[in-house]
Amino acid sequence: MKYIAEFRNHAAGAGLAAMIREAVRGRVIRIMEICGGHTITIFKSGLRELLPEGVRLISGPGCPVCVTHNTFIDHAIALSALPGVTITSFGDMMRVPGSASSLQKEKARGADIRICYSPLDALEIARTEPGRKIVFLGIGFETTAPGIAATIKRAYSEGLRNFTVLGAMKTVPAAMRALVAGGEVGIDAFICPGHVSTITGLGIYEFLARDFNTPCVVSGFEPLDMLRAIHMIALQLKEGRAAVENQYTRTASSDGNPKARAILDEVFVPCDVAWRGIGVIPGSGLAIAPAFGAHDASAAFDIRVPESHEHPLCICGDIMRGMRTPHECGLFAKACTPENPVGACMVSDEGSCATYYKYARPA
Amino acid sequence: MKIVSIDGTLGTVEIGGIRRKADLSMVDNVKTGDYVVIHAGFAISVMNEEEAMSTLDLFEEIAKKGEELDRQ
Repeated sequence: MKYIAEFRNHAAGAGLAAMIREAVRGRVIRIMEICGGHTITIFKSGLRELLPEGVRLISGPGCPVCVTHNTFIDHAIALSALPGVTITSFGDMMRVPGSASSLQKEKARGADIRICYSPLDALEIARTEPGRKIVFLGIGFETTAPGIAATIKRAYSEGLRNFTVLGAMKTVPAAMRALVAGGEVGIDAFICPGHVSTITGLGIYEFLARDFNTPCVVSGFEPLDMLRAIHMIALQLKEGRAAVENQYTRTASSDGNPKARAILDEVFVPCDVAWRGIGVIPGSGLAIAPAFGAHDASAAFDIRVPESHEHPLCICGDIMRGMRTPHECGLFAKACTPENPVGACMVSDEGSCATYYKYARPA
Repeated sequence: MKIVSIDGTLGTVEIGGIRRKADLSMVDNVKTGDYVVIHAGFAISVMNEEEAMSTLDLFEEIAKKGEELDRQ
């Protein structure tokens, strides 16, 4: 397929690995890849085997399903029990364990819960089934949020009062700030998420280079993209620089997608939001603006959600902060598997535990 | 994915023989034949082919050097 095979050329990979070795020269550099998509590329392509020993890659909190707090799942499950309510959701939310159940289990018990590929599919259900109250579970980062915003705007202009969104959308830079400011994990540099950057542009990472002296390189998702991004980081560290650089120039421009950002600004306002494993990060969430309040499920349904709790042995939170790896979890590949997940990181394709399970499971 | 047809702000996109509909309202000046990044049913970015070629040129150059090193 055009523009795919070329980015997987073996000789170029070997050449880039040699260049990285030359730039690293035996030092240890700790690089966090924020995005779960990058974690998949690293394992699927065997990049760790190509890289010199000193390059340590740490998986970060960039899987939208994984960082969604238990309270949100519990809230969605409570809504699914209301008469006339249809829950619509991206498929990877279905098996995420809440405090006592999951959407999939509730569906099996008879709740009307349907998987959608796009929020527009949920809107179409609201059009064709006016007698039902359609709640879309709006999770995701800057990549997904514009589509959800556009869908809310369409529901508003069509007067589809039976369409609401239960939102838990989040913005990436706030989490990156929390990780470096927290200082729990030594992070020398970031591989920044490519598709978030197509929306936001590169400016959102400037504070990391300026205030925290941490190099940031936006990377594409093919193996050669990532090796080149790691090389760019290694060069910055070798030269003692910290800058925001872009490897993914074919897709992410420095000023991002202004149309998408305009719709985000129109439909959402910043809010405090709880991240699983990290806690509440002020201003890191996107709440539905008062003008579109009729489409906000958290306001439209008056229900009480009991206090949520997580499995006491699950270390998803530590894994998302880069403190520990799935191999250090007592549940991993034993009590917690993709078929029977205990924690969210084992559910989503982009979750660290799911990726380790698939590509780096202990024999 | 590659845009194969456009009807207003609705496009049909294709990769590896699989086709689906995508909303094009968030990207400007797209035309049939453009490559776009699709996320949850929306095109969020149009691929800049010049930049893609220049990245590939760089990789090709590195690959040649790598092969020369292998021969030495």
